[in-house]
Amino acid sequence: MSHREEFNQKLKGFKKIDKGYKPPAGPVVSWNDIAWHFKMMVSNNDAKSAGGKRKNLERTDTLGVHLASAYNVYDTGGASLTKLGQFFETFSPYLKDAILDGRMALLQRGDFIPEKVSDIDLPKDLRTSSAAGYYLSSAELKRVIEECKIDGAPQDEDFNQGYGQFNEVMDTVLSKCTDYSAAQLTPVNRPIPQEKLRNTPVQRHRDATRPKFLNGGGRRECM
Amino acid sequence: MSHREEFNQKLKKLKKIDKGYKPPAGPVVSWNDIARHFSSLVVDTGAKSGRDKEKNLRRTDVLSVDFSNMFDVFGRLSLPTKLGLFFEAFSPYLKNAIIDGRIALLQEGGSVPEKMSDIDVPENLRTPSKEDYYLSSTELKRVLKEADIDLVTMDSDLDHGYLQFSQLMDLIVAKSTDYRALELIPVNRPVPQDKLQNTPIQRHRSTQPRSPVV
Repeated sequence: MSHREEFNQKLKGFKKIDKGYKPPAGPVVSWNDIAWHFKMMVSNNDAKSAGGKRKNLERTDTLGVHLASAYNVYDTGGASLTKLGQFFETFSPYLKDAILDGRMALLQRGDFIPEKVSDIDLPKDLRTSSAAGYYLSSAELKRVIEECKIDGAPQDEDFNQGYGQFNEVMDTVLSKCTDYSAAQLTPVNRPIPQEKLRNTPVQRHRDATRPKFLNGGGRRECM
Repeated sequence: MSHREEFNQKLKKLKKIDKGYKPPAGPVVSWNDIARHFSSLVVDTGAKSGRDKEKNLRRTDVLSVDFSNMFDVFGRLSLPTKLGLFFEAFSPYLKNAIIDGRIALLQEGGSVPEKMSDIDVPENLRTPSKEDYYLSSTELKRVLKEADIDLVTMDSDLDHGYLQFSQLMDLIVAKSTDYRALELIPVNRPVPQDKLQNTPIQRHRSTQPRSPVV
């Protein structure tokens, strides 16, 4: 590759930055802050505490519980996911997709934007720190959690309970995070404005749960 | 220097450098100075001194104590001191504060890495920095206080460790050269404190009882 080609390729890295993006109202929090407080509040795995199996799986201080000794003396490996843990397992790849697809903004300080979305160094989940120093709008994060609930298994009682617990944990975590909304942050992943999206989970849910008469279906026409 | 190296170096200079940052009042110290003094004052693991376990765990000259002879004749049992406990918790906290821009990471040269993940932040304050980084001691003390608020609540061992670590840092800063008069530039695009809301210190302040209005 010639010097000129190399230079042009590197120059492409200095993409035009989307200065038009404005995060919705509400705090903008750092990924690392979320990960830090999440880890402080919720452990990855924990030994069973008093109470029955059901009670242990409803805990909100851990993602998994080692129930082995109590329920199966031969099985010493693995942990059962709590309901919170189950929702978290579903939500983590969902959030990653939402960021890669631009349904929510991934923000950073500084001007450099990777040429390809796949070059974004996205942490595995919200309990994993980000070396790149990313930020999220808390309002957008709450929307994506809601979308995950709608797209997931809304008829499943365990899933719904896990969603409720995760939502509460996130509210506490977000309330403990520093708000960077006044800092100069730029989106890394070229987010798509919400008004340009159709048939989003929230829109579908709204349409499905809307009373029929509001859709015009339940009304008789006047003669 | 090869053409490629020269090209890469020239390209680096294209990056915007934040000339607007001014460190708060107080000494600016080098990471390596902190690491050197820290390592000479506090060793990684030490053998137990005296008989009292609790007294050993309160030591400030060591991060962990080897209790092998006392508690387990067949093996070694190393326990973190209270200072060591706090240090273990504080090290990733400080790293996050640097990556998130709550504290400035300063350097002498003119080029700034384009991505935050390209910054080679040392693992902890006992590890020397290959890049020759500097920190404002005032900002470091603030982040320490933030860690105290975010970490220590309810845990008396960590609280004890925080006080020991805080005193140790005062001593280390007092022994370190002050580079404040040098022209240092921030590497990590720090966020001005007045642009941050709901910081640990602000949250902590709002939970403190207000003095009665006379």
